[in-house]
Amino acid sequence: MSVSLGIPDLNNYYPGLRDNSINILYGKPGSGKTIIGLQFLIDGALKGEEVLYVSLDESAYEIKKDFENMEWNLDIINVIDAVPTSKKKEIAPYREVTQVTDVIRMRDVKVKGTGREIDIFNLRSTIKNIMERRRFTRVVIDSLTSLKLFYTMGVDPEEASLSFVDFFRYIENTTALFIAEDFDDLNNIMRMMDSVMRLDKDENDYTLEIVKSSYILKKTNISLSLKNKGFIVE
Amino acid sequence: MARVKFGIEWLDNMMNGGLPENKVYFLMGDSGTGKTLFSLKFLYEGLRMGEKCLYISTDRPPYDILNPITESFGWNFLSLNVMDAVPSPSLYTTGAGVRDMTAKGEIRDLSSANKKMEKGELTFESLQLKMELEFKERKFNRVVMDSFTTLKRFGADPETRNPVMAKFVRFFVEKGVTALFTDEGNLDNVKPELVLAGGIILLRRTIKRNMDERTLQIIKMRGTIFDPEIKVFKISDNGFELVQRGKK
Repeated sequence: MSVSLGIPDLNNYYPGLRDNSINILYGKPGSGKTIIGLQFLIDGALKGEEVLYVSLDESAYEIKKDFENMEWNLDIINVIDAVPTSKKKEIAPYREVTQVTDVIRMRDVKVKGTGREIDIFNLRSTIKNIMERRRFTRVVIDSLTSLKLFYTMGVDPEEASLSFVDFFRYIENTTALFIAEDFDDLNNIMRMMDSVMRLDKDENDYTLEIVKSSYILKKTNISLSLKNKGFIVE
Repeated sequence: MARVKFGIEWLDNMMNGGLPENKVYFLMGDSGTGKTLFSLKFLYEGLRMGEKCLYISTDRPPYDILNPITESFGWNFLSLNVMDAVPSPSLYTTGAGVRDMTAKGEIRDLSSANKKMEKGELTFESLQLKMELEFKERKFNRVVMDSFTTLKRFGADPETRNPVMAKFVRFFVEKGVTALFTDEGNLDNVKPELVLAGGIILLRRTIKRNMDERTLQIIKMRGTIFDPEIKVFKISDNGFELVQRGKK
């Protein structure tokens, strides 16, 4: 079964992601990767699925503000806000196996950032704990690059991120979408992925390139345009 | 989202009315591309609107930078708050230095400032601590950090630099500030900034024979639509003028 990305008419060219798979979307800064990630989640939520956004670049509060002019309902998605506050002086992360933050509805997001120190390991345990209790059919990690740059103190970012991604392979019934910057070294990560997509922006023209997929595709470069409701196929 | 203007019409229009408020922006470009000038125009516009503005200088004492600009452009910076955060010479030596937690910088009104400052060391944490105290006394609408490159070089140990930088950026967001950090170098060596930034404006300058061409490009801007086209501009007595160029 395929899981739609939530971009209207995209199915004519690309059925979407495989059910129960791990996938990556990469592109330049400012190319609209987060928009696609959120669109993917909203699509699921509107179909009655439980969906989860893991916010690592910007606090959930800022994400909410950034997209307040979009004509979509962000409130219905769940979020793990992993962005730490500037408050904590101690940089050394916790390595405990208990969860460090909770899932909340975007609707209830108010404060800026979390007070706890989050790193790649306790984030993984947090997600593991949460997944044991609740089933999320779609998860977006935004972004893997951020995770490697800011959440891997004292460990090898490459190895830690590979094992983080690998962990999602063993979560059943979840389709995971990782977002990454195009300048990130993604060779090892991409090899693990069931599908790879690249979003490109040239002036105001957007192109979604399906770099790797298990579907037979008529077209691998799909022109998109950005509207108030998100991306549509040109 | 409310907008924070540069007061440069063509630039504000490129982001649909100005920078979305309460984010940290990076103004990138090599030496001589006009980063400081743009950042000061940003502060001058804030002062003109009656906002509280702070200029943090890490490369040269603030007056050495501000005075010539006032002379050339007539911008009045008397109500600007400045912080002299130029690292002390001891930082440049190879000997092991003990990092203290007190920031060297003192915020003061430009009019009451003098050049004698206590010497301390410049780190992300000390500067943040110092700002924390300052924010208890007054709020700033706009802050310029000129330059972030220097702070990055001296401000943290390499292995903790990225998370420390992330916290530093978060600090300004939490304080409700719209901040502009000047940053040197090409896009390859500023990867963490590319992720942390609410937006990135890239300045370039090409000098060839008789030609001196300056360009500006918005690379990224969260929370708004933006014009990603490369704009050619020139700097004159009137400030920043857009140069109309026919499309090839």
